Amino acid sequence: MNAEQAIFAVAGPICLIAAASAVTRRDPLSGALSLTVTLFSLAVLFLGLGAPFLAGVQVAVYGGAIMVLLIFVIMLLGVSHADLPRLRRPALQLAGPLIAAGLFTVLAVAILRSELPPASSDALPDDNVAAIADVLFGRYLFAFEAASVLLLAALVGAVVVARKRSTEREWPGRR
Amino acid sequence: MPTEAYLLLGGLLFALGAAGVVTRTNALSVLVAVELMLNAVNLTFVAAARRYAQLDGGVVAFFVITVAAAEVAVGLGIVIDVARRTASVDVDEASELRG
Repeated sequence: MNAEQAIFAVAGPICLIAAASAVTRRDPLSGALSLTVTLFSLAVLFLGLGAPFLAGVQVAVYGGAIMVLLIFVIMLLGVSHADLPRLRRPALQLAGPLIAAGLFTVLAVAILRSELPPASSDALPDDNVAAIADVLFGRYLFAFEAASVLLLAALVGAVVVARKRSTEREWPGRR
Repeated sequence: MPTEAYLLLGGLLFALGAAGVVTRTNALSVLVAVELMLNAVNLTFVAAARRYAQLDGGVVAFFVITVAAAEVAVGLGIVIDVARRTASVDVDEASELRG
């Protein structure tokens, strides 16, 4: 058993169990914390796949920034156990496992029946970060710049959407 | 590890996330499930990058993470606004457009 197989054998099941917990917990905070475990185990899988840069990005951006934002909002909205959403759609709750099983069956059959083109014989360069920088700031430079514009637009959009409306002051009765 | 193992794990995570998106009624839980789906796709990108020794898969996964950050920021802004209007984070409560 080489290092990659050992990483997959340990991080894979952790990832799966945490993901199942993330979607089945009724408390959004437990769900978000379970998702954080999933994200970290995915970062470990990325390390096993020879992508240390992405593992770092995954921990810093996903496990750090995005999950902190999500948990911050969950705390801000003050989700208490009393007002957890009721299971008003029991049929849909039953459908959850069926949807997951059905979709996974379709995907698994597609993956196992399709013949992937043979793997490349050469390995990824060891100097991963420098090589990624070459690709990112070369072939994908336009996409990189577009992503920065997207982030700015999202930043402004989030502030505009989430701020208190001035109309609420003008028409206090309007909801 | 064969690439198929990673693809199957990614498919399983994606199916779990999709089921979560469909069945959860709490907007924050729905966002958590969407993040799970995005990460499942990222795993397949990175696995393909390793298989074909191409860094493009990793770069695309990097962009997916960027878009996810934008999506979460706007999504949470909307959730806060809906919570302020309807005093609830239940996606079924925000049904004003039903007509």
